[in-house]
Amino acid sequence: MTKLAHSAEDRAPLSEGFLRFMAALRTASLPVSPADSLDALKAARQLGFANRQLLRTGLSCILAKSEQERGVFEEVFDRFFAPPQTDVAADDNASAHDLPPINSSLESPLGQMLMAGDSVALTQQMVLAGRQQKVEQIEFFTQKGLYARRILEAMGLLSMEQNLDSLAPSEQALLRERLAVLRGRVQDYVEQQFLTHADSTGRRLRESLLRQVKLSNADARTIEQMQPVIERMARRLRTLYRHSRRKQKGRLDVPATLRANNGLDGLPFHLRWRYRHRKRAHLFVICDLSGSMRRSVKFMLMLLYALQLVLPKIRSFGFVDRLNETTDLFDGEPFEQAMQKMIERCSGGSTDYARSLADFENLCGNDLTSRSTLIILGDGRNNYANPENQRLARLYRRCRRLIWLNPESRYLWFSGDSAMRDYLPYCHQANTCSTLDQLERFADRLLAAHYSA
Amino acid sequence: MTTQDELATLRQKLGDQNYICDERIAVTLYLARSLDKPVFIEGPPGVGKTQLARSCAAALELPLIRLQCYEGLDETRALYEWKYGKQLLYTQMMKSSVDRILRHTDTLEEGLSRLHAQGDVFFSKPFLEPRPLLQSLESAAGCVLLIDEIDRADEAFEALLLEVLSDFQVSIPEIGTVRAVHKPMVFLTSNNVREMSDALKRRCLHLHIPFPDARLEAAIVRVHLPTIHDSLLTSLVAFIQQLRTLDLKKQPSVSETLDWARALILLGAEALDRQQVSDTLHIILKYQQDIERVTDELPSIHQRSLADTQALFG
Ligand SMILES: Nc1ncnc2c1ncn2[C@@H]1O[C@H](COP(=O)(O)OP(=O)(O)OP(=O)(O)O)[C@@H](O)[C@H]1O
Ligand SMILES: [Mg+2]
Repeated sequence: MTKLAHSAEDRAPLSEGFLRFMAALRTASLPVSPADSLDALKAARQLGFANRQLLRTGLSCILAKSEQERGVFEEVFDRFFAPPQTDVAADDNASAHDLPPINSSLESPLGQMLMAGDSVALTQQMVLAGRQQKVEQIEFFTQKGLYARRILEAMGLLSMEQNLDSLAPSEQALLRERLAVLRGRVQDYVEQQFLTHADSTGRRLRESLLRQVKLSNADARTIEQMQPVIERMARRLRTLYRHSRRKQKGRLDVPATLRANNGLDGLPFHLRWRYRHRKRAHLFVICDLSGSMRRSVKFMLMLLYALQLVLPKIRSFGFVDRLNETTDLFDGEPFEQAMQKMIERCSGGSTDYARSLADFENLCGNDLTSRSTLIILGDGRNNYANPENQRLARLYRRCRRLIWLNPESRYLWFSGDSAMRDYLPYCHQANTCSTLDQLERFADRLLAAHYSA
Repeated sequence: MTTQDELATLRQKLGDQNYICDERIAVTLYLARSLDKPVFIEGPPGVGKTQLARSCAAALELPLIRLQCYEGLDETRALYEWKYGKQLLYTQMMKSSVDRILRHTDTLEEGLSRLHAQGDVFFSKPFLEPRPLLQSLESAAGCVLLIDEIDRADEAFEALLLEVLSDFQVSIPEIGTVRAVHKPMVFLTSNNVREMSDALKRRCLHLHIPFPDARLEAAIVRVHLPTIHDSLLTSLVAFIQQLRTLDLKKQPSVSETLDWARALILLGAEALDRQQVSDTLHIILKYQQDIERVTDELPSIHQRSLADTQALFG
């Protein structure tokens, strides 16, 4: 290659897509210099875009300068060049979210796709609309709604809505329900695009933002930034409720006070209180550890264990196809390690809620009392197996409160292989819990309930 | 020729030099050539970092110039040095011509200025001893420059290297600037004894060579020892792979696998037998502590590696 050819290449305009990729790498805090981008562009031209694997390998040796940077690079590369996740449950295949097709006389193409329940086609349309609306230029988290609306409109939302009156009321209701599902997906998509493309300086680091990002959309770097937020949350809640614990002091313990002040001529200088000795209640936490759930579980447990001082004793359980108790792992070991071991201990097979609930019942059905709170953290995706909700019903009657936390939005609870509709009647409380904000709100309510009881 | 073809050819050529190379290595070498950038190779000891540079030189039919780094390595060893001995010898031998120049001078000043008028004859090319870095710049047809184990050299040396690698030229005050005729293809290897500076890494392409997986390792052994028995090869590699999952003081590297395979072949082994393993453990494990640990667990490790052989090579 002659020097002349080199410089001619250098002068060719950098493609816009390529520049955006470089920006995405910088956003993920890889220090990509202008010289690096030029090298990368040259390399990309030589390697071509057809063979993604080759391109990924080639660019990584230019742009990542250590194994750790390579990890970051590959994550951004995959995010950037792969089709977007279509759903919070990233590891489920797309067709699991297909809805039963319903014939309809609707003219709008969007309406037809919704009625046909074709999630692959909808995703394609969404990505096309996203490109058209330049969603990758999103700058602020607050623009999420705006972009989501524009994308939906580009997909033909308005004309579909005008069309809606021609449908029977039952069909209308169904369509609205499915539209809600789609709306959620579009918002996820915009959020992922924001995390990939938006500039990192200052904006991305803001705590208020970190609290609102869905855990399932966050990349590794964002996740890292979230950990201190959890710690701050825990500190706030601890101070808040340690205070209320003191209020429960109870009556003056006269004999103990006399004993303590023996040397003081009987002047009661050190007061001794008789504490209300309650039998210690337990908090049972059952965690779905299938791939899509791990992040939510991790943050949830991280917060609960950070609150250990002000909460009843926690017993934790993990399951995929079978359930195991993991309480011992969190005794003294650093949290990260314990979490890792928990995943190792409980990994296997495909998710089986029914069997895991049965395991739980065998293991500690008898320990559940009217003081126990049972928290289940799961997406309820049961691979279309029989949910056997009578098992949950029995647990429900035994304990004081049964709380189900699901990282999926409520409108997804009734789609695909979700067993939520069967379990819902046997929960005292069921919430979506997919962001740090929601997690904090939940913990707050849990503590409040504990101290008012 | 398309890029894909060129990559295939490169792999082929390295293969001819008995170096088994995966796609990552091939792409990195290819880009190093087309972008004229040094390659910074990291990885545990004995995974073939040095060998890669050697084989690459052979494959490209370029001379290899090697600079082995160590603590205290300095310019005079790495870049150039004046040939003091030769300078001294020549001044002695040329005493009479010096006398002639200095004839009829009365003062010291006058003599010195006459000498200066002769130019720096003793600080010219013939008295210069080029060391590897300078040699690589001067090589007429290009070369492969291997800067081995850079992590052993001090930081001061790193700074010098940075200078040389950024412009591929050095300035020698007495002579002037020497510019590379052909930019050499440069490899730097590191065992991560210490973290290298960002500036240096940023100038290079990054290549991490991990321990090879079972298939690659078997291919490497096979290429070095073509006569090895199939069942010995697979069970031996499975055993080594099994050892690498243990928490040992020093994990066995490819060189140790090769040494072990050689020894077992000499012993006439056709498969891996537990007694033989236990007798030859010292070839693959360098610490007594590791040897004891593995000896204790030998039956179960052996068992697992037998089971793995099926899964790995099945
Ligand atoms: N991919 C490969 N193909 C062929 N031979 C290989 C390969 N990888 C390693 N080897 C062999 O492994 C042995 C060790 O290689 P080498 O000495 O280059 O390792 P190294 O990484 O430089 O080690 P150190 O860090 O100790 O210097 C050599 O005999 C080499 O031939
Ligand atoms: Mg070496």
